Amino acid sequence: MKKKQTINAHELHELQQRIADYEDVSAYKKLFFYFFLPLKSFSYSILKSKEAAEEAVSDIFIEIWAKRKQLLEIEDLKMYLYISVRNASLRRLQQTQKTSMLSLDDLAVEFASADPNAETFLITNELAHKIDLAIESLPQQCKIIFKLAKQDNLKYKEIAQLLNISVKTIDNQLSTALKKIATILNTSVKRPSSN
Amino acid sequence: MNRDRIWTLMSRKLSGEATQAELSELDDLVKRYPDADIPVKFIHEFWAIPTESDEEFLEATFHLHSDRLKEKGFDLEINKFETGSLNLDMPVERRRSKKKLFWFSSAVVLTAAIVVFNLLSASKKTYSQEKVAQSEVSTKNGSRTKIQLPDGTSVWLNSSSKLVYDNTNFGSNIREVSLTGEAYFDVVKNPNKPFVIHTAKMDIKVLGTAFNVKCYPGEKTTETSLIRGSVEVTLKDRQEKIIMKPNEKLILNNDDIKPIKQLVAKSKQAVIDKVNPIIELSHLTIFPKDSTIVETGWVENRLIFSDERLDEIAKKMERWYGVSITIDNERLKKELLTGSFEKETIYQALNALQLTTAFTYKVDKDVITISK
Repeated sequence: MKKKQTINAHELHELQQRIADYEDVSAYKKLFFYFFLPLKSFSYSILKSKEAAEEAVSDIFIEIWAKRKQLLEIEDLKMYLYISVRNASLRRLQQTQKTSMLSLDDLAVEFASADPNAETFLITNELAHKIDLAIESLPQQCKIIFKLAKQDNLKYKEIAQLLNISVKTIDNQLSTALKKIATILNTSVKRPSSN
Repeated sequence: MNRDRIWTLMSRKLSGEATQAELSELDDLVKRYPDADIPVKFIHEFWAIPTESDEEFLEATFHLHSDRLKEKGFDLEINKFETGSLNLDMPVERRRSKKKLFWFSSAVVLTAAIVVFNLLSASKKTYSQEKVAQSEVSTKNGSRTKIQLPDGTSVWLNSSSKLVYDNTNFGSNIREVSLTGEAYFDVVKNPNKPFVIHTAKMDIKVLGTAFNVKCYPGEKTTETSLIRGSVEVTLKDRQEKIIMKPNEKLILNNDDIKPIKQLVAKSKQAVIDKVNPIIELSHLTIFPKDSTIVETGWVENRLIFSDERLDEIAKKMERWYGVSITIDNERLKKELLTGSFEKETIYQALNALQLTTAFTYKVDKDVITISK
């Protein structure tokens, strides 16, 4: 089965080192490829504009290159990127809407579709679509937490830090999301025992 | 104990937050509530499904991002070459492929090409602003280069070749380029935007694939060699379409207008013996010594020929070394030779060929004359 694209702390640190010590463009490009889409999607949920989100993330990556020599001073580059994007997006929001508060109910969370080429044993395309619909119907706060946990592979405390909420809230909201998906599955999947 | 706790524990498990005690608690709960078993299995699988990654979008976005960086005074292209040599000491870079080595060894040629490329695309400013201008990349005899198109597609351009595309419209609906000479394309897949290569005699339409096109003006044939994927070739003179499969090679006779006849050559012999068929679908030629594909050897900086006529080889060498070669003996022209050259000079190459076929050569500036 096709694996999720994730980067572990060790690989990330290696990229960081190559960029800082060798100004290695291919490492920089790799970093961009890993994080551009999730960061853009996160920024979009705040800004609700694709162009503005792309520009905000591109700006952050420009900063990264501009201070590449000091890049190793950043301890947690992944969280640094997410928090920079959050702050930059909120600053932009302030310019247009005079608000810089992150209101979790006012987000526009886009849940990226599952890779149609992924090999699955149980989940058919039809079922995947039903699950997508179930996720679509979740409240925005629940949806962003679910998205950051599943698609961005963020830890509870990382999500908590990013969204300014408690770990307990994340625990509850994720459980709610899974329960909803389970309900959909229970009504859609035929049990092998029931004839 | 609450049944809903299954979902709390599942969330923790999937996010990598669960403790050992919580994992066994989850197992126990699923045993106690068997109807949760199926959703638990499905959710496990669902969680592991990756989201759709969009390589072309990323390539294109990185391209735009590089332009924005350049506006701020950071030119990534400069660093690309500086770090190229530095990286040789790094363990990560040691596993570099031959192709990449070619990239660095031809850095000088490449820099020149990129300058042209960038001058022509310099009007790109922001994400929304229109790009204007026609981009043209060309190589002289004796030089080769590699370029990357805005969609991320890689093009290796062989000697004495030219690639032209319209910067304004490239990639809006269809990705179109025009080619004279020889090029190897590694096309980034995008089913919504077909990639079309126009040559004098045929158009080649692809979705995402790697292949070689050879269409030098003045040569007898136009050739397409497919490495992977599939392409659709339209022959301009007759509006005929041919779908090619991997490892096939299509040879079109440039100056013939005889009735349509498609031949499938089973062996190389057929290629040589047939009286110039109009179209031939044959197979790629494998160089016996190291199984390299002869048609694309030049991409890895190798000049390869396998059982080819000396006059055909001379043409290849002219372009490769940037010299002019004449053969003043008719029988010699038809001699079939096999060889592979990488770092050899033209003289070393000629001396090596002399070992298998008896001939002499004399050199007068850039003109080499081969005689019996």
